[in-house]
Amino acid sequence: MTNSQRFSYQQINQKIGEAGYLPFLPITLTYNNNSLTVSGLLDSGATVNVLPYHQGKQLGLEWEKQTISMNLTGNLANYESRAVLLTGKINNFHPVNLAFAWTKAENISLILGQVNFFLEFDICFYRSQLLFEVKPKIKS
Amino acid sequence: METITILVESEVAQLYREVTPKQQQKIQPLLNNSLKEILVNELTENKNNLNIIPNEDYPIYSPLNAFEAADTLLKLLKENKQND
Repeated sequence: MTNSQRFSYQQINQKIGEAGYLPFLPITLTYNNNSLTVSGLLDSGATVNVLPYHQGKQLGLEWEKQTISMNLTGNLANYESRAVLLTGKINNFHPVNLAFAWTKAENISLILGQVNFFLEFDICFYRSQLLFEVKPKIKS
Repeated sequence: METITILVESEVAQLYREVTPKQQQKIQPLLNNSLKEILVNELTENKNNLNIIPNEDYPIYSPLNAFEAADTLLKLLKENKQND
C-alpha cells in the first residue's frame, strides 16, 4: 500500500492556458483548537513557510503575543513577520508541526516552503500531467 | 470541439462507439484533451474551500534565500520538540 496522494494543479488564470496552473495543496491548519482549511502554494524556491496575516487572524493568532520577529527576503522584506507554530494536516496523513513566518502582508496565498514543509513531505511534480504527489517523510 | 467538451464522460464514450474507425482516428486527440479537461475539472471541483478564484491576481512573494528566517523557524521547531 502506497502512502502517497496525488493532487491536481489549480487553474488560477484561464487567459494564459497551461501556464495558468500552479501546485496549490489543500491543507488544514490548526492553532489552539481553531482550524482553517486553505490552499497552500508548494513553493520549492521559498526558504520558509509563509502565513498571510488574515489567515493567522482567522486561526486566532494574536500579533502582539508572537515574540519572535524575523526578517524575510524579496517583496516580503517590506513587511514585519513573526514566527508561529501550527499543526498542518493533509487529507488522512498524520498531522505535523509546521513553523511559519506570519507576515503582515495581506494579499498573498499561503506559501509552503523548504522550512519546514519540504522537510516533512516528499513531493513529486508531474507538471505535464497537471498533477503532483505528496508523501510524508520516511522517519529514520 | 466545444460540443465534445460539454458532454459528460458516458456520452463521450457512446459517441466514440458510434463513429467509424477513420473518424475515431480524427477525434482521438480531441477526446484525449476533453477527457483530460473533465478529469482536471472534477478534481478541481472536489476541493472545497480552496480560496482560489479563477483569473484573480495572486502575487507570489516567494522568500528566496531567507536563511536567517529559516534558522529562526528551525530553532522554534527544535525547542517545541524538546518541550514535548
